[in-house]
Formats: sequence, structure tokens, C-alpha cells
Amino acid sequence: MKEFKVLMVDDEEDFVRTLDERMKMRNLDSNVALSGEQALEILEKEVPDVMLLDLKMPGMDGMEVLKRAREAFPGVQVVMLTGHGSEQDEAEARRLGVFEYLRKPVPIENLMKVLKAAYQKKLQESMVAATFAEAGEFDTAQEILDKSRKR
Amino acid sequence: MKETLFMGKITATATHELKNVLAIIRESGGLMQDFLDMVNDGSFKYKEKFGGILSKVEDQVRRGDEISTQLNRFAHTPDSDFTSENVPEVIDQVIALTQRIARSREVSFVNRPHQSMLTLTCEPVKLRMLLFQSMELLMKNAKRGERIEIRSRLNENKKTFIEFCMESDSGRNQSLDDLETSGEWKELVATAGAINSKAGLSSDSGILTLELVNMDYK
Repeated sequence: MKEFKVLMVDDEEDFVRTLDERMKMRNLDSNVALSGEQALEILEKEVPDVMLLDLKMPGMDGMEVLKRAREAFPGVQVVMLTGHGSEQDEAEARRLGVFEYLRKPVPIENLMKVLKAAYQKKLQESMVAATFAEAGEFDTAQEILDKSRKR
Repeated sequence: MKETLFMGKITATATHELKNVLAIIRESGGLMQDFLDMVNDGSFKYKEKFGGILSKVEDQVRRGDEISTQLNRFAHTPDSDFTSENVPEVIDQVIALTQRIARSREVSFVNRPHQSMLTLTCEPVKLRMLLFQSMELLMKNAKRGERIEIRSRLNENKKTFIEFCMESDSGRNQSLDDLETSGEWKELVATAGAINSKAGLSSDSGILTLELVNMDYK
């Protein structure tokens, strides 16, 4: 049984495929997208628990993917992992509701900790929302999801 | 200025690529370490040796990443004509990027700021040039093994002082007095003057001092 699902989005194929293998060895159900567009296609078919997202990519960049993912899939926690981001990029990503903003390189142990924490947050939010939904309080459940989206 | 911007832009782009290269090397080394960790039955007699090699790879990637990060920041320096800089950070940057020259001359620099945040409004390229010229001048005149402390502080008149202190008299090849007639010193003084600052030498104490003022760019 895998711990949780992670979608890794990065245009550096050698990097992301190697990281994918390391994630699988750590019992995560990981998947790879090599562009922002591909990430959104995958999200439509199979929603991960956490998305690990590069910032600078050809075509649709990470910030745009983050924006769209937070709107359409608020339950997915997003962790940015970039080698090129500025302080303004970090501020913008946090405003859009990123769970954590990391700069490459990150030791695998630290990355795992952040991914697990993101997954825990996703679990907590969906449990609270589900409790309200079960009690018929759909508006409150929606509010919780909206708050999570705006964070 | 256009040429400086061009050089900066190309260098910044290349450092981004270098960071990607280093990230791939790091993850590949990490994956090899993961596989190595799975062998626990003593069947691989070179396990320890491989582990040591991978640890060296990791150390060198970290070193390369630090240089790339500093080089990237340096390459973005010409993006603004005037900017607010944290002096101790700029000193760290110049030290990191001139490590090779210092090592080849067997000299080391230690950054000892009086306070960790010391803001100065200035022309960023010229500030770095002035720091480098000062360090290069002292490196050329230091003896092997010399350690040079760089102390920065703000005085009561809001002037920033940077002092390059040579460890001892015996560490010097020549009196600092002799430097004052050199062409390099004249160039350094000219760079300082271009940003309304001053440079001075104190031969007795072996200290080169830069006195920097905030520039008004409005």
C-alpha cells in the first residue's frame, strides 16, 4: 500500500525521473509531468494528494499551473521546488496558496518531510470538509475548501 | 553599460543551467546511495568505498551549487544602476567568487561584520569592483598562509566602513606605504571616488579602509 500520491512537474526529464524513482523507493505513488500543460491533463484524469511543481518551464510556467490547480483542484497541496525563483516569485506563490516554497537542491529527507506535512494538511482539510458535508452542511464544507484554495 | 548587462544576462542564464546539471548529479548520486543502502548482507565488498565516493560527489555538488548561486546573484548585479545592498552579504559573495584566486595565493579571507544587516545604497557593480580591487591588492602583497579579516560597520554619521585587516606585520611582503605609489592603488582610489567614497591605507596597523556613503539617486 503506497502512502500517498505525488505528481512531480519539471521539464528537466533526467532530474524528475530520477526523483520519481527515489520517491517510489520511499513508498510514494509518484507520477511525472514534463510540462505545465501535461500536469493539468494528468490532474483532470487522476488527482494527486500533493503536487511538486517547478517554477520556470517552457510553455505554461509553474505559477500559472499553481493558479489553475488551486482553482480547479483545491484539495491538492502544492509544493514549489525551484532553482531559479526570486523573492517576488516566492511571495506570489505564497499568495496563491502554495504549501511550501523550496529552493533546489533539497536533501531528499527534507523533501520527504515537506511532502508528508503537505499530505497531512490535505487529509485534515478533507476530513473536516467531509464531516460538515455528512452533516448536510454543504455550504460550510464548501467554505472550508474555498479557504484552502485562497490560502 | 550595455556590455555589462549583456555579460550579466548570459552568465545568469548559464548559472541556471548549471544548477539544473548539479541537481541531476545530486539526485543521481542520491539514487545510487539508495540502492547501496539496500545491500545489507555484506555481498558487496566495496560498499564502504562507494559510500565514500558518493559522499564526495555530494560535497562537490554542494560546493558547485554555492558558487552557482553566488555567480547568479553577481550576474544580476548590473540589472539596477543603484540599489540597496546588504554589505556583509556582498562581501560574502565576492569572497565566494574569488576563492580560487585566494587559494592559489594561499591567502584566506574572513568576513567579520559588526552587524549582520548593514544597508548601503550604491552602484552595485562598482561596490563589488572596489571590494575585489582591495582584496586583490592585499592578496598580491600578503605572504603565504595570511588570513585577512574583513570588518564592516556603520559609524555614528551613517557612513559605512570596511576594513581589511592583515593578521600580522610578518604576514606582509612589503610595507603598505609602498602600495600607495602603485598603479593598482590609484585604480582602486579612482573606483572609490566614482561612488563618492574614500580608500585609505594604514601601514602601521596593516589595514586598508574603505569609507562608503549612501548615494542619492533620486
